[in-house]
Amino acid sequence: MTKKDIDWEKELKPKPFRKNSFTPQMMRKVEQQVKADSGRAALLRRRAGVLVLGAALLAGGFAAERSGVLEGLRQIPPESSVGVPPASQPNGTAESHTFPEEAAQTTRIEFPEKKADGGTAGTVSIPLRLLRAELAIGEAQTDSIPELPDMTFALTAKEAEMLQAVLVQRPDTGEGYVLLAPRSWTPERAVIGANGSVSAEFINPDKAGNPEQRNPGDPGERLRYTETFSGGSVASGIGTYFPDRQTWAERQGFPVQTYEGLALRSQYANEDGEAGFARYDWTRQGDGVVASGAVYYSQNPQNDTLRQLEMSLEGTAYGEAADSILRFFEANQGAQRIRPAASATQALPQGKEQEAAEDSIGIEALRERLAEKGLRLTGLQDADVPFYDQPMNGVEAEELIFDRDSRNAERSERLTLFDFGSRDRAAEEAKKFAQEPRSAENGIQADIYPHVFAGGGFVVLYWTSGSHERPFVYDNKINGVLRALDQSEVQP
Amino acid sequence: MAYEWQGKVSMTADDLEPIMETYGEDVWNFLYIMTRSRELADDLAQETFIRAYKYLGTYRGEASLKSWLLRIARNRWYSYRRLAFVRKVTLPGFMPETNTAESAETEFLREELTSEVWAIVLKLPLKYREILTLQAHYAMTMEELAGTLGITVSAAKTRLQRARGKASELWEKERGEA
Repeated sequence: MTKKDIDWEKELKPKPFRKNSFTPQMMRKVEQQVKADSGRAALLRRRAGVLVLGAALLAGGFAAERSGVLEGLRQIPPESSVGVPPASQPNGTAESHTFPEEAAQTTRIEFPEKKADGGTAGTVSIPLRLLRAELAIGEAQTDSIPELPDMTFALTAKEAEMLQAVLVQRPDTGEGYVLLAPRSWTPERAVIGANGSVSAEFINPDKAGNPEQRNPGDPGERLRYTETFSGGSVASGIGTYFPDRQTWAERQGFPVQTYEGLALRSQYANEDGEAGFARYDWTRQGDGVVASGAVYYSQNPQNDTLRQLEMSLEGTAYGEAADSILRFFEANQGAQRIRPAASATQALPQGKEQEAAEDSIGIEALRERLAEKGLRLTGLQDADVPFYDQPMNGVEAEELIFDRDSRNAERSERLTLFDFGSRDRAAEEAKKFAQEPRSAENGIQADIYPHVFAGGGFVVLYWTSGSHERPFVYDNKINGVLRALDQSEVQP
Repeated sequence: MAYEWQGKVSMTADDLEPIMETYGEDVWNFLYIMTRSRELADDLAQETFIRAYKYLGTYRGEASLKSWLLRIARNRWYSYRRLAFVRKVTLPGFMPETNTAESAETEFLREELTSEVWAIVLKLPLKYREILTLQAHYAMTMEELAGTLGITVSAAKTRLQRARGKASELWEKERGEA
């Protein structure tokens, strides 16, 4: 038989195996199981009557909430904006959303001046550049520039001459991050990842090196800043830079990196170990310090965070600048985070949704809000078995399938929704779920992944498919809707 | 084929037996081709019928009962794959991925496989052995394939063509080496 001769339909028509492996014993087990399930279902139906009564009581409570009886107990969000320095003056511009990129070299930002005796007097100013982040997924929601506060980190006049500040703008939320970098270096790229991670990179244009390689090799001179919220990456980072947590990280199932020549310069953590800071130098025999970096982590029920800044260096020319940059990182536990301008928060997808959210809580409301964003969702049909068919800490799931185009419907693109009714609880459950490692199993590339979001009291698993052959197509509108729910303060 | 449960408001556990007798082997064989593990095929085949019993009220007769059961079986396997990574970490040793298990599978295939062509299919990547089996052995139409795999009809045609191509390449290669 040659390649051309093979008639697969004919060849594969016979049974693949000689004997029937679905045995009568298996059939008996199935029958026993369904009989047992039927008994439990009858019991649940009896209990359902009690639940209906409970739901009626809850509805009464909710009506009281809507009527304003419970208004006094609702948390009032703090003011979100800070003072805006006037245009063409230090620390930004009043027309913050029109911050001109070409004006980067002429816009300056003031810092308190540190004197030789350690005190401060007066101010020094350094150039301020803008770096707009790219979104790995989704569309920009705002181009508004966050309003800069008065800086409190003190710089000496000498440090001011060596440094520039860079404001990284997030087009999804309008938030900003201020980083310091050597004066002559160029902001190269900032990216907001699918799960909200942040990365920003700067290079010394005279020594750009090969960005694909980490030391040893040819990293050139560059500064990398990253923020990650992935449970696995955070645990791995903690294990790598905090040796007393190494065993803990490995027990979680996350590998700890070993870098030969890595020396910790300082390290501390709070008493319960929920937050810590480490500063390190990476030396190579004969070359001295080839990288200086700092890591900050925090772990709490809401989220895990790991922030890291590392400068790869050739020689000692930028050693002093690196020290200042890393101290600024330490003082701010990462980049200095700037809240979005008031105009940006209004532009974010919360205006109409907030109004609607005041009126309703529940999966149907979330579904309507997603529909407003153009995401049509339908319930499971026929033999569509739920992807995640188990309760999450006692809360039952509702699963919906994206219905983008009936001709091209990918029934693997779905949402599994859990309504916890409390944002703290939802955040905690989302964190627990996200901490589970997920990767290819048995060497087979998994082609559907759940991405976990929490917001407004919901945990949402977004199932999307892809592979090395067919890239993931990711819709970030779900993230925007959930963020808006969080900001609307509707959940108890 | 009409079953006694058809037309009833709900079916009982006893109604399930003739369905399992008719389709149990098909479901198990399909699951083995997908999972390449007897242990998984045993478990998932039973789960498939438990699911079928639970969701039979939603079966609208749009597809054949066999196609409907195969869809459930496939969903069970993909659901298992998604959750397996959790089990792998929290219950070390859960996955039957040992040398002993592998040699038992090899022994099973040596004794039970009816032809070399099926051995070729079992060596294909999952998405190719899946579509080739459903079309060539279970005689699913393009529309049924598209519905089962959650892809468009044109994507199903393309994937099937590639699956045949890959299988033919593998066949030629194995024949060349023999």
